[in-house]
Amino acid sequence: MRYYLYKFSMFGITLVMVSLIIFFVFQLLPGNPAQIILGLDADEQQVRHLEQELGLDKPAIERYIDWIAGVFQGDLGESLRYQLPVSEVLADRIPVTTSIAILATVLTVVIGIPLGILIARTDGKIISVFLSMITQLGISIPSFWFGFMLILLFSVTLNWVTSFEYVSWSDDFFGALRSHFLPSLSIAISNIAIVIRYLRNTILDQRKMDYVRTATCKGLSERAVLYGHVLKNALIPVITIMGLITADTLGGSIIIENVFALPGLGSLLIQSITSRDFPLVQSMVLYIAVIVLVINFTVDLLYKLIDPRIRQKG
Amino acid sequence: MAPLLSVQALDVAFQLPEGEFLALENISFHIYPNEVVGIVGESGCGKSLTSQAIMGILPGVASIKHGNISFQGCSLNDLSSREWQELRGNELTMIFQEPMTSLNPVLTIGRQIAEVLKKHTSLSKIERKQQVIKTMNEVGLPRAEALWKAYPHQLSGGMRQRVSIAMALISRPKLMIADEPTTALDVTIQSQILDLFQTIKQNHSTSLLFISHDLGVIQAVCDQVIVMYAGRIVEQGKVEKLISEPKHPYTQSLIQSIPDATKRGQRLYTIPGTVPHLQERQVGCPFSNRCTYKLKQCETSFPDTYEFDDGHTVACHLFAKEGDGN
Ligand SMILES: Nc1ncnc2c1ncn2[C@@H]1O[C@H](COP(=O)(O)OP(=O)(O)OP(=O)(O)O)[C@@H](O)[C@H]1O
Ligand SMILES: [Mg+2]
Repeated sequence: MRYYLYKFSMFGITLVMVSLIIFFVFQLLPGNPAQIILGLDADEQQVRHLEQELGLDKPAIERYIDWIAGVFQGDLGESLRYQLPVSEVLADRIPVTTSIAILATVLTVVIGIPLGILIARTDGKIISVFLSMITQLGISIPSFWFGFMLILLFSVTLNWVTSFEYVSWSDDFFGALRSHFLPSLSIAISNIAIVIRYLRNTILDQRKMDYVRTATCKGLSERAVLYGHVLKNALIPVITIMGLITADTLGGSIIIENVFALPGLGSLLIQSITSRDFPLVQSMVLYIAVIVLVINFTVDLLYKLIDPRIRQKG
Repeated sequence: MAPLLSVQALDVAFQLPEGEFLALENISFHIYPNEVVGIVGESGCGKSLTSQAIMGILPGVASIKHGNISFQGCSLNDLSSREWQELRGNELTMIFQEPMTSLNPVLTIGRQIAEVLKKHTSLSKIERKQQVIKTMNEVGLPRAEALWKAYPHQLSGGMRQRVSIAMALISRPKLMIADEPTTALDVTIQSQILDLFQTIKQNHSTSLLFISHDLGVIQAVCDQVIVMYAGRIVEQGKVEKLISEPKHPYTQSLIQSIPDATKRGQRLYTIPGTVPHLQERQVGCPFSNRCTYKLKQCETSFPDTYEFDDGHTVACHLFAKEGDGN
């Protein structure tokens, strides 16, 4: 119980720090939002007027407090560019990025973990060297390249997918699955390669441990030692990597969203920064911070679940 | 009576980047049913390697070059991995030195002990648990029911070592190998564990190969002792005989370094010099550079083995009879 109280207060403190940093960093950015909205040829009078309307003439501290107070009441402010409540703009974009991220994470786990085990099992054989080379490529090639190649393969060569228009889940489930699959796969490929290499290394490290020798001396087969003893120990550090990967994809990928013309958070972030849409940018960064914190918390919980040594300390 | 385990002229070599090195040379000994045999020698003498060769768990860079190990009359040299699995943990079991690391940190104690029965018997889950709890009580683990669900980090070193002993004992093995089972423990716990081995010896019809660098510990539990030095057996015999009438100068030094109440207050004797490393071993007797009785032939040839009454043997040039001349 003390543990959760502690976690929760750390959660709060981190969020306040993050919000302060985002708010004041954006104050330092050059460019006046009112000017940008009205265009460069607007006269001073109009700009003043709009600034007043948007509350931009108040001191920074006051605006920060207004913003935070709003956030606590569920009011994230209004987007300067879209002239809509920020929450509405985000509500449109978050499901897109989140479903891509979930699909990418599922692909990473479902493909990465079995292949990691396979590579570790074949360690020392030719096939393992070959697989290692492939994973090395997977890590070093950027995801947008996979995006282009997948588009080429599926639309130009195979002619399976004809357009890359975004289809939402409520419109057409299979259409949505199709439009989500390739971007998720492009994001997942390098993550899969990372998980494979990481898991292989942790398995090989764990194999040298004394408890493995004990298990062998009980008469267990190599397979039983791997699945019954080594794997659980080897997966513990992989959880951390998975947490990092998931948090990263949940924030949206600017490049992949552009390649596949997806209306997600990544492209929104870029647009709102260039148009100095501060209320929107602030809320997005805050959202990403919350995601990272929630993921870290989940990773902690998983650790406690799987590792009895940590469970004890709680 | 036929021996349970026979090791005959065993050579084990390491394949290292610098070349091939013999780590064990011409190791021969027998273990009879119900007998407790000790192996003693300083660090690096090849005690663990001998036990690994018997269990078939030599490190990847080591292999048997020559000789034979047979268990219950059947050679272990070319067992299939399936046959090894049948044997290990069942008729042939092992206890390791490191109680901190030799148990799996993420599995419960109960599961780790019961696993042996799961592998080697057809008992039901409930029967397995009953058997485990019985064995846990037998090895002096109190409140076995509660410990069943505990994890290794919740136990003290002594208790973990009792868990290892329970794992090795539960299948009623023919031969248990214990590699320095008390070395990592503090003195009071050490003597409790030695007492436990005494009890096991009385209550079970199992043979025991007990490895230690401490002749005092060996004296407490063993019937027969093998003294090893730099990969060779230099002396072997009945424990009382070997301690009262040690032949080999190395055995004499080991005896001098046993801590003993009558010598309290004096500085403990330590043998000057160290065991030569694997790569530095040369022809001749490896102990010769530390030996106060060194003869000139000690540097050029390894001595033959000379036998005294009651199977007491020694490999030392001091015991060469006239006319043996080499
Ligand atoms: N993996 C290895 N690679 C190279 N040499 C090794 C390896 N394992 C053991 N040796 C060498 O083999 C020899 C015998 O080692 P062994 O572990 O059997 O000694 P020991 O008598 O059990 O000593 P200790 O009391 O330290 O356990 C030593 O000289 C050691 O340096
Ligand atoms: Mg050893």
